[in-house]
Amino acid sequence: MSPKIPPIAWPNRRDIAVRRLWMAALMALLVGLAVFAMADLHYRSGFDGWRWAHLGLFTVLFSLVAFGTVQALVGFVQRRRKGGDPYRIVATLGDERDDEPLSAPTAVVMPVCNENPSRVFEGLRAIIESVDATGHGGNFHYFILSDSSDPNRWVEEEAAWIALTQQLKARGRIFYRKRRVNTNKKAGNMADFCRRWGSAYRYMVVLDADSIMTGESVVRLTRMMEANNRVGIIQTVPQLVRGETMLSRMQQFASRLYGSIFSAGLNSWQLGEGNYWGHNAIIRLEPFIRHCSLPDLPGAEPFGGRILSHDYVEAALMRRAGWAVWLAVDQSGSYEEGPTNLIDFAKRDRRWLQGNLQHTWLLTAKGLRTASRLHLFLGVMAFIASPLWLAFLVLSMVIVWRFEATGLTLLPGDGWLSPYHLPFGVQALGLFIFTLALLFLPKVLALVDLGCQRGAAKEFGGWPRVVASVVIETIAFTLIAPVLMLFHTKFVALTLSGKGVAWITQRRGADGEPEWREAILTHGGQTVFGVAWGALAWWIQPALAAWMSPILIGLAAAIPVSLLTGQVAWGRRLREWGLFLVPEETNPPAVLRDLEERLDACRYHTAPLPELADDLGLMEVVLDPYVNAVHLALLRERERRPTARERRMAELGERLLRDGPGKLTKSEKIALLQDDEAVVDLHREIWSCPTDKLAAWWQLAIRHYNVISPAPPTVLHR
Amino acid sequence: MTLNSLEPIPPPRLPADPAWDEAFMRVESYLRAHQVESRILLNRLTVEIIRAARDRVAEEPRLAPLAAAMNEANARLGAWFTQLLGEEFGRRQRLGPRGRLALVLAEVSQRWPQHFLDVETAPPEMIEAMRASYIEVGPEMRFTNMAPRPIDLGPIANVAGETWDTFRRRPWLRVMATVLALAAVLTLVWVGTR
Repeated sequence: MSPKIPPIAWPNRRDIAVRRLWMAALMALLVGLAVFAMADLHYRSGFDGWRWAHLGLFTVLFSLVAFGTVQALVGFVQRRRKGGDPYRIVATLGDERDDEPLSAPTAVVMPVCNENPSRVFEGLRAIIESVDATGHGGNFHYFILSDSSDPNRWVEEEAAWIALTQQLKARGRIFYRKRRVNTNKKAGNMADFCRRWGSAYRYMVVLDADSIMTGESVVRLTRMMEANNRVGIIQTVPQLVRGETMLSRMQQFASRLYGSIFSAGLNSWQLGEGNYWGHNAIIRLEPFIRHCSLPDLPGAEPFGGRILSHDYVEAALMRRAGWAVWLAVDQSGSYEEGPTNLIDFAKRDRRWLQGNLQHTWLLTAKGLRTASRLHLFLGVMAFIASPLWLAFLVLSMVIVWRFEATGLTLLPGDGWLSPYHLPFGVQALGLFIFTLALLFLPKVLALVDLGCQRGAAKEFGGWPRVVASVVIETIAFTLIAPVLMLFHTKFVALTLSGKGVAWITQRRGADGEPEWREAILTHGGQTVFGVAWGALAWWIQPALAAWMSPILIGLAAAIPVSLLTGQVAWGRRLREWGLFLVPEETNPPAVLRDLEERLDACRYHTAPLPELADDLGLMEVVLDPYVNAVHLALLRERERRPTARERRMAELGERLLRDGPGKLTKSEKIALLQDDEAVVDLHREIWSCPTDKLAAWWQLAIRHYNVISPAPPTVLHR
Repeated sequence: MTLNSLEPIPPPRLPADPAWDEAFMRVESYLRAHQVESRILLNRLTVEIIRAARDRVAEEPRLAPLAAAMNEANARLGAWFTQLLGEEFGRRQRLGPRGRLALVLAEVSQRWPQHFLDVETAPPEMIEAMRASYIEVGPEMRFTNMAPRPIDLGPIANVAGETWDTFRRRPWLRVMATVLALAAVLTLVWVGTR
């Protein structure tokens, strides 16, 4: 067992308790008022089992709404108080520390899995150059931890790594590791790094494949760790950037505008008992290795087995061991990208949902802190709320239908609020307006917060455009919310029944936009459900259909909304009009500017012929003498191959050259690329093989290298 | 020999045989795949290789022109790597890939493009850069044990876990439990709504 470490002295316990009690009291007040009003409505019209269930669901759902609102309200107050919240981890650093040398060996790790290598490595290049510009580059080593299962991605990653290392003269500072077997996915990838190299470093900055961090933020995170020796994890608040479609631009605008008050509110109650979101964070490695290795859950996947969403659990285990976990609010320079269309958004949610549902097992685990349980619970509820909302809507319909079926007119009796003589309809409308007010209050507070910062609105495009963006974003997300409700409900049901979700193969346009076929197949069922639901509501009572119209319209219009919000052209047009602008666009930081310029150059340099694009990596490893040599150098050399394996490799190699890569499966290509002898043989044979014995695909590929062609594209030089 | 000291090359006297045309194109493409972009150098090296291959085919008529030409190209590359990197290097396995790796890591095609396959006047800095080239995939490994710590999920989760396991082992029990649960829900709804 590790030695018991002394309790954390900052912030003091009394302050923590006072803050949490205030928030709980405020939330109880809001929820109490709403539940009382709803219960009174049911009481006046006659309680029955349906109404009890309805009230129960209302209480749960309203609590979630109230929690968000209270968090935003508290965050707003903290941001506006003089000097800001004194309990911020960034406040432990003074500006005068920036010039002090760093002596804490830190690994910056980027787990990747089949992402676009150009984006991954150009992002990493921007980060490294930015860190080097701070003058503290020597303190950091960089690791690309690949779990890529796509043979082409694998080869392109290797070549991009060599190119990056050479161009930055950073041999011995940037490392690449590819796992042959992807045990335990991302958590296993990170654990593998910790086992091999973790003890050589004091800290680990964890990035995602689409993460960008400025050098200043990386250095400041390291300094915060150095200044707070009881802190195990510091999580930054990554801003969404580089959005091109309407959906991604709306997300980045909303997270940038409203995110500040929400994260301030989150920090206000969690303090040193924060959460870890899996990337754009710094971790103290020694306690992480000692305490945060993940146990298996009872049962099998998807609900049990290996923990998928490792981050929340790692934060909980870190807290269990007595180390603080902080959210670095107000630390700028941390960025990530969001999903570009609604279908990708749902796919990501599906992954998160499955991981978060697993956390149910841990809610009652011994030794966890209450705050950690709350984080896990809120993570579960973020997705369970959808089926509960659906059930609430269905129950609302049943209650109205049952009343309509009696053929009676409403003659409600006196309720608990009778002294105020509120008519039934007025009270119901009041409760509805109260709910809407809580939903929209964070937006209003965020706008007020923006107004309090001199010149800040200009960075969002100016007040008229900010207000227009808020209105459009509100309408769009109101339409999208019921679609996500159905997605989440389906995913919850499938996960609980032990089934994965069969996704339609994505058919993407040139810009990664969803296509009509994909949208129809994905949202067709939701549209039919929405239309049928609307017809039923109209049949029960036209007024009911009118009340539910925002939900019904959202479902009925799922296909066009999904297509429209996923279009790059629309996103660009909105940007030209100055809508959904964020400060990172009006005044981009150097790290993002550099990334854009590099990616533009990359598109020009490495654009292959469209016919060859699908197997570019494989083509290069077979044909390009340098890529071939780099790949071989990174393969484990086998002493002797069993004869059966030798025969299989020879047969696969022959098929590859004779029939082309399109005739081999992904696993067959991987098998060839993992075999060093096969890679040597393929390179030798293809260059010695008569043209008429090669597949047309290879003939075209070889023509790349002929002197009458323009310079051949290579992923080696970007 | 470098580009600066090139002697005029006599025009190649190649037979009008499509097989040799193909061999010429392939060797030229292969050298260009090494990022040799100088047309003069490419042409000279290709002609030399094809000539040597022709001599070889003259001795062994059963050898196909393309195979002979590519063998010759690889042999020249191998000999060049051995000469530049030393006999010791030449005794190792996979001379070709290792030599090519040295070329790419030393950035020979960018820094000394005119010295590709240059046997006589390769600059010492180039040789030094090639000899010093190696791939470092990670710092020295220092293995650490990172074993999962057992976690007590608490009585509720433990009972649920055992039930889950039991259901997995006995599917009939799972079916019965599902039917009972459904019946219970329907009963509750019936009782609650009467």
